[in-house]
Amino acid sequence: MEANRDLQSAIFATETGKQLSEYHIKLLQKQNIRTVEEFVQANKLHKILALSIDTTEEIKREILDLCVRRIKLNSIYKSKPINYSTGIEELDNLLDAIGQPLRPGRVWELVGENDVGKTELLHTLAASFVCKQEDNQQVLFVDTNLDFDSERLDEILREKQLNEEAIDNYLDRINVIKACSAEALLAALKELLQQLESSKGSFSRIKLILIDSLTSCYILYRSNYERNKGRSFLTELTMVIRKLAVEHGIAFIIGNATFGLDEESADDDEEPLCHTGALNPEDFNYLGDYWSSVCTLILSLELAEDSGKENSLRVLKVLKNSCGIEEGSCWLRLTDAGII
Amino acid sequence: MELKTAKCLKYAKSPKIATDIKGLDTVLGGGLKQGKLYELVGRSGCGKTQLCMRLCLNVQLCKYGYTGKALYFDTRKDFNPARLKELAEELAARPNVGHMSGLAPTATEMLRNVFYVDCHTAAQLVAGLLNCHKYLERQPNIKLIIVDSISFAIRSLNHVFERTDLLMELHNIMRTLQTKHNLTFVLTNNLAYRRKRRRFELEAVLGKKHSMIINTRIWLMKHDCFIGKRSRTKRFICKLST
Repeated sequence: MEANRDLQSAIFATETGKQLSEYHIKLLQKQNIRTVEEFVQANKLHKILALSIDTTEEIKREILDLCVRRIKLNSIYKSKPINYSTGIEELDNLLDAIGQPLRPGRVWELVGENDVGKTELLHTLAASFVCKQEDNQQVLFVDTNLDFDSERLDEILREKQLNEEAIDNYLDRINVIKACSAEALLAALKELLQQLESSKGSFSRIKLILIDSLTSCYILYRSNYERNKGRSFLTELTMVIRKLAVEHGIAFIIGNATFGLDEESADDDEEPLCHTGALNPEDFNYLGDYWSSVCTLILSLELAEDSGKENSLRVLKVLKNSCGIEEGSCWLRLTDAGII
Repeated sequence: MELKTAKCLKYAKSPKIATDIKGLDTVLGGGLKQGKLYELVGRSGCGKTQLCMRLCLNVQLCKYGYTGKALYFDTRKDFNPARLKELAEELAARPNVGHMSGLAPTATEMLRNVFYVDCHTAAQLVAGLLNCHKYLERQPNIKLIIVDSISFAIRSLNHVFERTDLLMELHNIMRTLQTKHNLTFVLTNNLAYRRKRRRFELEAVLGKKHSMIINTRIWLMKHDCFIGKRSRTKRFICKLST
């Protein structure tokens, strides 16, 4: 009834629509056209209303104008967005500074060289996510390289001085899925999407998906033919991720390995730094340009320079930020309690 | 979709294969885990093959009363049955062994549970790994597969493209086996000096893609033992006593 009156008032608010009578409105009701949307999309409207095509089109146009104006900005911004805390103080400060906290629906990428601690950081994030968020929110860890280690998670949680029961409770909220190939990863995400759409099962509680190393999914693609397959996989993956992110408010953090410039060859050139400066190692992103447009924030984890003997120090830099400042970095340290 | 929670993974503890290097075992949480891919690197003569043979025996006396078997791919003819026998005898003589697995296995029994495949060329290694599922059908208890010197097999090829191709092929096969049978893989690899910013650093060979795929790399140096994939990120674990 509400929608009905809405349509009626919308029609009467337009210039041309004023000329319509109650009779026309009733005709519309008979045809089950109750909302503005249905009205605009209805076929053969002029026949239903016994009006000329011109008139109906005019009404449609005016009603559309009206609708566009009617959406108020504050209705979009009304709901205060939830910010997830990463649990790492330094990182939280950095994210605050660049104005991009972790929120539902965000898709981030974490790049870094081999063995620099990407997987470790993802483990830490998973642990702190379940600790900080309320009971009903879960994490899905997509294990692509068989690197997932529940004992490591256990250790990280243990360092937080929790008792056995709490640890088990937290661990229970971290879901793991093995997806060793591109196809498996796609299939898993698609199924998740399907399950969410039919809204059954406990999947609706998953709010953060961590994909460990996208690279290893299709590192095994070698031939030219397969490389194209890799590209199509990437496109498809993007679509699924976007859908999950936008429609279901799931945040993504995707790990990705970079392979730096081969330092051997760079050095053999005997050219000073300007050469390597132009070809920033991070530009050699393994997944190409298209992919780099997918994520709103790309963080890179690097070894700290001049750290001397101590090699547990890392620098986390912001490589790309779609909504805000593009610079910033913070220091992180690998410890028994994960990364802090 | 097969979803598991970290909690049930934590309690579904699988037996681990002890390396008998004390510090290393503690860091690894008791030993090598199932379903992971390990790599041993080190210069020649630092005990890689030795450790491999020891693992072959240790897999047979895992805790939880289970006996695994091992499959050994040898590309360099480094496998020394006499030495294995020595190790087995030493192990059988250890006082707590019989207690752990219920029945004390004798050295000859232990030797019987180590299967050996000789591969002279890279092609044979591929063929051997492809045939693995047949071995596994016959011997479902095989839990550990060792490829002693994967680098030797790969590097016997001339062309770089062929090498990468073959390496990825091998990884593909291993990954399939791993997911299907929950195996532990141990590869051995060599170290070589690489020039980096006018310094020379010791790195494992076979490239970055390879080190991306393996799960844990264990460095056996002359006196020390490290874990980590690159020389800059490796962590000191313990001293090695020989």
